[in-house]
Amino acid sequence: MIRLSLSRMIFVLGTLSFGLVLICLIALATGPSNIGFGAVVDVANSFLRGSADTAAGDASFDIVLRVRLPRLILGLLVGAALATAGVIFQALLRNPLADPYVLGVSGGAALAGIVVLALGGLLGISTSFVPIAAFGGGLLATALLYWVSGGPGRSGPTGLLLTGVVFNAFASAGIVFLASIAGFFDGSRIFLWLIGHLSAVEIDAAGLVAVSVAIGFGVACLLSRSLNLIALGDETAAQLGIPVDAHRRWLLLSTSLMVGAAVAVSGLIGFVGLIVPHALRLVIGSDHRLLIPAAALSGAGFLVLSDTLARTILDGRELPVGAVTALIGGPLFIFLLRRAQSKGPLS
Amino acid sequence: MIARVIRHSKSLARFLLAFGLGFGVLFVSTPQGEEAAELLEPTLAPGPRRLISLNPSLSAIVLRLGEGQRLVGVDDYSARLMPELAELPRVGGLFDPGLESILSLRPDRVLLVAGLEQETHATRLAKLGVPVDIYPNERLDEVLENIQRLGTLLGREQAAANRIQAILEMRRAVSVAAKSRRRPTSVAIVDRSPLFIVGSETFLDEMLDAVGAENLGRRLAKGYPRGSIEWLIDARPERLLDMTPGATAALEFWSRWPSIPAVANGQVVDVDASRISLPGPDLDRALRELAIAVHGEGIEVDIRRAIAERSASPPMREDELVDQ
Amino acid sequence: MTAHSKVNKSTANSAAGDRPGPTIEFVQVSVELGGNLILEGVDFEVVPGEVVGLVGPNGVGKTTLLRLASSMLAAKSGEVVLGGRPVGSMTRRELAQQVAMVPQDFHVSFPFRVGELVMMGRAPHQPLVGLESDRDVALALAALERLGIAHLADRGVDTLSGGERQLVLFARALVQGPDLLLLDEPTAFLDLKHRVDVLQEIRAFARSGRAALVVSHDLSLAARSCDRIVLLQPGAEAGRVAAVGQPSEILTAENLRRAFGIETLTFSGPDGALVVVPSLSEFDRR
Repeated sequence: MIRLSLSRMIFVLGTLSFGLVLICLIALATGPSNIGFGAVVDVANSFLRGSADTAAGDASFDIVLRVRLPRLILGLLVGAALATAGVIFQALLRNPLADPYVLGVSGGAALAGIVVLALGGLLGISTSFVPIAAFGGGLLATALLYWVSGGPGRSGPTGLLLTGVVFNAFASAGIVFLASIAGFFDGSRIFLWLIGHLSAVEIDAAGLVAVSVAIGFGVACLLSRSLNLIALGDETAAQLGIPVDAHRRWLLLSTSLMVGAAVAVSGLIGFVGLIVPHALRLVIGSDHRLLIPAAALSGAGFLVLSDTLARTILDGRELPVGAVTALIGGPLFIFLLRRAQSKGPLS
Repeated sequence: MIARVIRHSKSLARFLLAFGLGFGVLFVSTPQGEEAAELLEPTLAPGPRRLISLNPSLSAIVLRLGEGQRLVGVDDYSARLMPELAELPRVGGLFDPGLESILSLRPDRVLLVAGLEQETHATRLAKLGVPVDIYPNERLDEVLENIQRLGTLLGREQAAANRIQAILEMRRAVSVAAKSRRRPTSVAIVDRSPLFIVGSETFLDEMLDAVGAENLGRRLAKGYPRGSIEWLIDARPERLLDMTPGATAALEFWSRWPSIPAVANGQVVDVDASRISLPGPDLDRALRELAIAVHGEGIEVDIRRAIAERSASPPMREDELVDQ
Repeated sequence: MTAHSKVNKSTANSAAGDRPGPTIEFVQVSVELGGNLILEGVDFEVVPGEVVGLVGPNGVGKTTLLRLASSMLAAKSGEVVLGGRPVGSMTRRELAQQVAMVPQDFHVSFPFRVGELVMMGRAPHQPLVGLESDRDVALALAALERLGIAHLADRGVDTLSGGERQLVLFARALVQGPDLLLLDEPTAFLDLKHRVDVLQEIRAFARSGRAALVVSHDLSLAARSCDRIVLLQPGAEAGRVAAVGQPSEILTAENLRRAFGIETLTFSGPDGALVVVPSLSEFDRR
């Protein structure tokens, strides 16, 4: 079996989609208030019949349609963006440990977002620019990463990661510093921004996020065959007919776009881009034509599931979802790093 | 400028509450009525003469007792919030007071509140030979006790007793006024996004209880827990008291969930945190305004009547006061 | 663009009459890397049907020459002409349709399977998005069969031996369907039988009207499998072509002494082919 057949794609993506639908149903049906699955079905029914507004006084309506559903949509978008970005970074840098958070790209996006949040008031910039600023910050961090590492594969897995760690520390310090000098000393909000959460109520930017993720994902799908070849090495890819520089530029742009959008609404959720692609490669292999859409579906499902855990594990109180992903991702990262080191650099 | 000061104070509060320390929001202490005269009396009283306060609630009490001139240094937040203290040397923030700047002011007493970070500083200062007083201020009783202790320390026992009595009297009056009214289920919101609410074992919870509100947040956790919107909707509160700093239009915000009874009945109240949630010397005012927030302007007449009735009757003995 | 190149090629061919033009021409090429002159005045051509061996001491610029031919780097002066067109004027895709490179070895960060890796050779012929056609699959399977590695198709490339990896790379280059094969020591990690197999495949490839340029350190094997030999030797500043011609003309003790700086014995074996071995005196001397 040496080809990627249509039936295999349909099978894998169909299975993952089915799983994602199940996860969405679970997420819609669980929460700190036990309104019951029957109520959820009723809500869905009347929503589909278009009579949602008539039941305005019903708490289960508010809970399912105006609390759980927006949050579910946010989780799907952010999870898909982070996992897809992880796959792309791993291929471009030829480093299975790459992840937008670990590499400091999310940190750069968050720092730029905070600049607009904290100083925007003084400079007269609207907060709706936060996603755009976050995109720019992610792009700058990516450029820095490339510049410091001297290009892909040259500094080994740990050198690249070190750059990310240092940049993350810098970004966190910058965030706290900016928040302090701007008189925006808003501890709980900054704390949430740093650990990553999906509880933003005012998701006015959701449309922008959806568009960003759609563009990023579209580019990744279009260039997924190129990713296969670039993952083998820039020279190999070029010798097999890929305009490597142009394709890499498009991929980095679209990745920064996705990460910036995700960070702008959810802060620094870590390790999704590490856990999901790693698990997927073990099961479905490394072909990016399958891996990219599979990662988007699985990342969305993983984050929604993690968030469902985060908002139900403490009765009526909330845990930031970033804490859940970090608790899973941290140990996995150490394990993978240990294995990568014992195998030697980039073998 | 005032708006800016208040904004700082509000942000500070969120920071504190997020870490469950429960100091409450600060406000600018402005003495009013006959008590303002106390400020003008010359200080001949005994006690420490070079005070440093590391907490706005303590600074506010010292000021209110008319002993502001004893302060030789304050924390950044006290200085920002109280114009009277703006010119004083600052010794850093709540969590990072500079040991060196404290020592250089040669204080004979440092006042700070209980809490993990602050107690670490207390230990260090004590080791350096600086006398330190620690004042817990999470509960209402603790705040009253702080007023009394500071009154004793500064030789202002009478002014302190007056203040305590005024607060207790107001607590009694709002309770009497609220007795004839239904106890609405309420959620007091410290911050909307992320959502933090007033939980149990806090002075704000005790004040809500006193003004005749059923604080649903106490079921969730003690302190100032991070709640979920879903929990709030499910709790079906009849009142939403939104103390989110700097934010306005509470009703507009909460209207996105029309099933909340408070929303449906137009009982979402913008509460000015700066006047309610500093655990300082003006909790009587805080109680009155909280009662109005919960029951509406109409309760003010009843509060006045309850106060007037008590004044007409023979004065209470001291132990009766304390029992309340 | 592809059609255009075909036209160009046929004009070049017709200009030379019925005899096809050279597959690749190096015209007075010099290469500079990081301020150092690596190659200077390299000038030779490879014509359809022939296998040309590229020999010379370490560091003389053999691999650089192959990278130049696949347009991985640009010449400082001179020109590389492929099928009548300068390589610099061709897109990556056009180039990849005509030239396939077999590097010495590769590292993978991700466990692609052998079949997937070989199939990637079809990339220059496939659209940007899509799945492999039946023809792609047939070509890949055929290449795997020819090199006797069909049984490895489902193995992860990270589990292969050095020799197996070399065969996989060779298979990928065959699948690419080029006019010119560039091979960088394609037999270095192979056992004797597989060396013969691979060299036989290279010859068969060339006999079908295409061409191959092979870097080799095994001079005897080069003598047996190559139609012509290009001997590179260090010049005053940079590597230059010392001699081009039939193996027996080029691989002389005299030429090898100048190029490698050691004494060799070259003689005809019982089958008539040239054998090159270091002289015993070289071992005694050290």
